[in-house]
Amino acid sequence: MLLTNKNINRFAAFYLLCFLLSYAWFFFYGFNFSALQPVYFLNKPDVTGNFFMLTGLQQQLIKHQWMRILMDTLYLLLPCLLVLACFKKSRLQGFLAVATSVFSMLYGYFFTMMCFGSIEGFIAWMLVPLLFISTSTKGFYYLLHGLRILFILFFFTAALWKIRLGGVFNTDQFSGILIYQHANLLAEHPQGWFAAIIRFLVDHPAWSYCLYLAAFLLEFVFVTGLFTCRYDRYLILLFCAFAVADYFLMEIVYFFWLPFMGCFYLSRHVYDPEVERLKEQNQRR
Amino acid sequence: MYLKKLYHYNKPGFYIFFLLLLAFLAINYKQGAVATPVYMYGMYGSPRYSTDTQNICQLSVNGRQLDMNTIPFAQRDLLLLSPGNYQLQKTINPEVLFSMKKIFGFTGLMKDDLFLNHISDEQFNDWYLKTISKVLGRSVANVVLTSRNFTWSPQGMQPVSNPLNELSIVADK
Repeated sequence: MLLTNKNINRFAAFYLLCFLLSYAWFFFYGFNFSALQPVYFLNKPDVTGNFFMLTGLQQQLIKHQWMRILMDTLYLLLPCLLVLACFKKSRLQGFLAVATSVFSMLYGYFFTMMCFGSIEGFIAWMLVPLLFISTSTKGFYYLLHGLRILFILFFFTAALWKIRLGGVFNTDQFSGILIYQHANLLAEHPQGWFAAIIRFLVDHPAWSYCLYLAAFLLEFVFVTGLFTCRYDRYLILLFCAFAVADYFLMEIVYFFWLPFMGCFYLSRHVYDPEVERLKEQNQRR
Repeated sequence: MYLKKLYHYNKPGFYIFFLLLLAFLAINYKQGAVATPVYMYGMYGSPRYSTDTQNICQLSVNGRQLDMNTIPFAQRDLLLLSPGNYQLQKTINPEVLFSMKKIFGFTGLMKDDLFLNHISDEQFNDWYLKTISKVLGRSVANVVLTSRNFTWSPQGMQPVSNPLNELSIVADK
């Protein structure tokens, strides 16, 4: 299958759609700087994040509402401008890709430091814009495969950590996790239907351990992606199953990683060397 | 192989990608500081047990205990985690500042003014009341946050400690 500009534009549209849905979700719950109006931050041992903090932006965000509105607006506008530039094949595309990526890192770091939550949820908005640095199909192809490998490593190492830390060898693991995750529910409303499901799983460690093992295997199986792209469509399905199960059972949102699935969807597409050669010749002229 | 093809296509791109992979390996191996966007993806890898003691926070608003399960989980986490995070920043922020000075100290910009909060407990309490009021969509006159230890038993969650008063706020009239 040939990788065409149409594929790239579709990927850009998919990324923007996912981003806008995520933004709407955060906006709906009042999770942005202007609605939250944070008054303190909890720093983390993160080298990049502390580099951003050298600017003193964290203090400005606490002091000024206009700064919070500016941050929220730029965070929304940059991906839109990037995708527009991608559609129009604008010269600004490379600059906008880097700006969107860096700004998303900055926004994600400050937001999770001043609100709560895990910064890992923001990685799609940090890394996917980098795909659009290059305006050539060949450049996109290499960036796409690079990003695909990075995502596989993120996911696969989650399985390795479960071996290294020993979680996968503990048959009581998922019962313990479910109690931790839903402690309030189990203490206050143990009689509801959702609490009944959690209670069943906690009381039947063999069942709950099977679910944990399934999640572990699902993460582990992503390693196949390092050797072949043949099973990428199955990996997309597995990731979707993982995200849905996590949302309903654990109340953890992994849908924000969906844009990465575009890399798996297009992984078997290759650029046309002849077309790329002609394009390069035209550019030289 | 992708890396070989990338090397021939774009050498600077290859070196950047290779450095990113090395950073990822180093951060996962050393298990200390991270560097956005490179993290450790543990995802509940550490052993947990159903017999672990759970510290559960309960929030009373205007004299009535709040049913946390009627609040969307993201907002529930915001309400329950914020007081703890506020207390944590008092010790964590100076520690992070100290460790990051080893890396960025040469810039001369690692100052307390930038890296520590300048907020009083009253200011935090005021913000917390406003945030609860926004989430619940009604005015809040007073708030009491208590925590209590529970453990799982075949009969369900059983308290194993007395409630501890973590925070008590009365709104200014």
